[in-house]
Amino acid sequence: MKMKNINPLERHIEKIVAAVVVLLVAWLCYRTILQDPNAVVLPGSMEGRVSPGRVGEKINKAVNALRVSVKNAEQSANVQRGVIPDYKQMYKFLQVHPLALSLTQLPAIAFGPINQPLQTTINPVAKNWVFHVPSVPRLTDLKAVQGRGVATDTPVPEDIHWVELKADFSVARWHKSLAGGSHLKADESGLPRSYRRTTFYRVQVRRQQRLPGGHWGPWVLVKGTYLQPLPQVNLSGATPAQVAAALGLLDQAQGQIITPAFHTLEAPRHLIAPANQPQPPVAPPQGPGGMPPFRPGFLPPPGAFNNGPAGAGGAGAAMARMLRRQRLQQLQLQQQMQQQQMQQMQQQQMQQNNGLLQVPSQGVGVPGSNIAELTTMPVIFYDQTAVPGERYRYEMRVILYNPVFEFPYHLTDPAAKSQPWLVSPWSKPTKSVKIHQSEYFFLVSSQLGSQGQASFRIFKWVQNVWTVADEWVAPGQAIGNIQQVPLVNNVTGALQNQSVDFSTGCTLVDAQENAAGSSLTIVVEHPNGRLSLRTSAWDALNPEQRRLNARVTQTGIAPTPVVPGVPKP
Amino acid sequence: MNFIKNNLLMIILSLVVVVVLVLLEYPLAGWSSRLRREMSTSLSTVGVARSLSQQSIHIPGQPSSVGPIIPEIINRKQQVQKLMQDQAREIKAYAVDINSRGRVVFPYGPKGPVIPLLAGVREPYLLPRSNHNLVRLANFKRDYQRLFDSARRNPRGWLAQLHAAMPPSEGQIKRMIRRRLSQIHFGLVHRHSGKLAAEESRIARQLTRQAIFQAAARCRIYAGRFCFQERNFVQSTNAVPSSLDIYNAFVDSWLQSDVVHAIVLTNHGSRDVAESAIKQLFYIRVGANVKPGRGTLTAASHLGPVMTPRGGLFLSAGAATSVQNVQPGYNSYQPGGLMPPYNGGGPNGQMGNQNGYPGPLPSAYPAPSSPAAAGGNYGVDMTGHVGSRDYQVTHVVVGVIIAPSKINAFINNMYRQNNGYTLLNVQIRTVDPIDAITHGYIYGAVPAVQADFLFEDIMFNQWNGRVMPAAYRQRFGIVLQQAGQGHPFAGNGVAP
Repeated sequence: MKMKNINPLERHIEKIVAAVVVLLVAWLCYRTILQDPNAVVLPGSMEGRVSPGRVGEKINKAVNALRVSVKNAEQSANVQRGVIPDYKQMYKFLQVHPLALSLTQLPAIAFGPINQPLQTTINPVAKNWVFHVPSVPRLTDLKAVQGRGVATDTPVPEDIHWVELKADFSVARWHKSLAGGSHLKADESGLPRSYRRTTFYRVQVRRQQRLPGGHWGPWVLVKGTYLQPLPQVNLSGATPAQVAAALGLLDQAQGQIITPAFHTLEAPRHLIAPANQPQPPVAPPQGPGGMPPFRPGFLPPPGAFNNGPAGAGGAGAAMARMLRRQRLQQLQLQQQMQQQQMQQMQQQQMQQNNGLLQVPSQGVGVPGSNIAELTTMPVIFYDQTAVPGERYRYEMRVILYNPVFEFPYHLTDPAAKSQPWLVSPWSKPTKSVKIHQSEYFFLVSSQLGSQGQASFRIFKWVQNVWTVADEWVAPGQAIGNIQQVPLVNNVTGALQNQSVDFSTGCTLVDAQENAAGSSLTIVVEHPNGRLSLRTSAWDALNPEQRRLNARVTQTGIAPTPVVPGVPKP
Repeated sequence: MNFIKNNLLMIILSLVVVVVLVLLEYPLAGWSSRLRREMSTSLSTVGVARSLSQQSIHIPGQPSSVGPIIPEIINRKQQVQKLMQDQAREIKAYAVDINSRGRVVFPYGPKGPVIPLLAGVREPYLLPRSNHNLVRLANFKRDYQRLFDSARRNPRGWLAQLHAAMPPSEGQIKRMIRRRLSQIHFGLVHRHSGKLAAEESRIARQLTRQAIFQAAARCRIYAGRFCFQERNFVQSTNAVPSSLDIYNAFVDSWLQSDVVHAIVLTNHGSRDVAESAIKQLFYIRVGANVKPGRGTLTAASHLGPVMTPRGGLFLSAGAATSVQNVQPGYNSYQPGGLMPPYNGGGPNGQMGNQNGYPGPLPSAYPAPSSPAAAGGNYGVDMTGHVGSRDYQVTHVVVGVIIAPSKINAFINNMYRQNNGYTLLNVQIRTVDPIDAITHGYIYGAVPAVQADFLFEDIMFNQWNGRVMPAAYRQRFGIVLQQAGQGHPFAGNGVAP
């Protein structure tokens, strides 16, 4: 009964307390056993909480990882090296291309459809205009100068003959023609300024050879000497872009076309003074009459050729050393002069270019880069195919790009639209120019040899000097063969025997003494089949032979005697 | 109650236990909190170690990497910084060098006398101090005048370079029509007198059209002498230019030459004005206070310069005193404490005082170290560039008729002329081509707009100060000294 009077709380208080205690104990067990109450979260990590006992381990692990990464970084630091950007180049590039191409190369904006008639209305060229076709003026002041020398820019030094042709192209007349000239009709007009283009394509030269009868032969086109090949351009069927590119190429090669470079020539040998003394010729065998076959007028003075063979030692060796020394001094002097000239040119360019050295322009041969400022332009042509001893006269013309090629408007001569090139008239012919003969031969014996030979003295221009050779030639044999001649070596500067081809191309046909035995008459066949008569008396009085003998004596290159009767190779 | 009474002891003990537990909780929680705090502090070392081993390394020119910063990295970065500083010095020297190109030359080396160029031609013995040789002054005046000559008179003048021409004037067309009509057989006209007026009208229309179109076909741009800015001494035959006049004329010519060259480059390849990108040049004006696009420029505005520059040549630091809050009276910019006059004159005669320096000096002339000068005076323009110890600033405005697609090309070509140019403003207005044709201007088969460009140009004192007259140098506080020496440079007035 008493139990019935108490409330349930009192009746089950012990159970409630026990439950609370159990929950409390369970919570305490959970916090202290299952969940470490002092564990903290590792900052910046997803690994969960770290209990106090693992703090040291974590720190050691992180420090060790840092040590490893430092070691790895030190090992890889020397491998991963880059290049520091060249900001100066970037700055320079920005000066050239300040804005991007996508900004500057925008397509033109066309009128809208409603304004399309404007395009025909404001066409600046009237439909009824007729434009004047320009004509290339004739070259003026054409002059021909012949020369010979040794080209040193070839693989082997080469004796060359050439004719240099110089003329003037009147730029003022050409520009006047582009502008229409002074004979425009009322409905004609000069070319628009943008079409007034001057682009040289070729320089053509033709020549006439003087015939033996005194008449001039036919005109023959001459192939010029161009050390670098000229650009070949074919404008037929080319697109405007291709035409523009081709003309740009020709403009770049303008100096090469109208003022081409020529061979580098060796300095004339007479600058190397004094020359060594001539060698004593071995006296040819006496003729049938016991007299030497030499003419009386060409006996060398006694003691003139007593220095022994060149380069063999003694005085000859001393002479060779002196020549070599002089040659080296000359080369050094040339180099110094070239350096001084280069320095002067660089200083001038630096002054002109505001203290900055710049690459010279391509058109070196053309004085002045702006053609509009010139009144005349020099045009130069080299003819290396002229035959020595012949006489020529020349004519020259130029070929230019036709400014009205594929012209979109009316022309006074519509056919000119299809012609890519304009050709000037031939210039007036030059005065006749005779090419220096490079080879002479003279009959020097007044009597026949033991086997009926005649003695010849042959002069040949080799390496800027006259070389000479004596030779006995029997009837039927060719005059001239290969002989050893002392010449200056281009490398060492010493005299050295070198092979020189003295072949004249002529053949001795017959030789006859006169009755008194004082003169010899021969018949010579020339390469062209012509026969000529020579006598020893005539050749003895030939002033050319005297001049050549004097030159050879001065140079000191003596003839190599040939023993008569020895068969020719 | 009986239950409590019976278990009172147990209850009390329980309460005591609870109270003890509660009381113990505070120190235990504190100890635990301190432990966790110390643990967190210790564990932050882990984070530091991890972050140290995962540093992002960015060195210019080197491959980017992630890893610890080791001494090698630090050394490399120092090397790179040193090289970059060297490059910066080189770039500065190069910038000064190319800034002077086309304007002055140093024929005797960078330390020698400097000779200014007038459209590429050397004009020695004039700056910074002319020696009052009247022959040289006359020659300079002649050379300066030739810049403005027509293409026919001077093939090297600006108009010739531009291939410029103007459409025939109304008087020219009338004279041509009258001459042509006089050549026609009047007897025939008299026989058909009724058709006289119609015939004359037809011929007049034909000749007018022919004259206008022929002018358009033979030039690349419409421009005349009036488009350029001339100095006053040109207009008087007896006027002898002073050093200030000469210097101002040189600066004008440099900037106008650049504009001319930029136009030539932009129009390169065009065959006539219809194909040209820039079809008409209205004006080029140089000065500190020139403003673009003022007024309306019509196609027929060939009656004279529309733009008249106001203000002086260079933009001084005090040019925008109303905008910039500067320190009044502070004038360390001028050595010696003298107050420089305000550079606010104009080339066309708006001179303010007897020395040729127009206008009064503004009371505020900030020091270079002040925010206005050091950080840029943005009250002046968008770049904030004003005159300083390193450079002087001037403005040039150009008004043209241009194809819209070529505006950027023209800006690009202007930038290519000199490294001192910066475009500040462009104002574009539409142009009616039909209206232009009625005035004799043909702009071609593409739309054209009228554009007014405002460029800023910076000229470094390192070369510009050497050709400046002494008064200018004194005004801007420019002291020229040779490297390693303490005396000012003599300029080109002294022979080397």
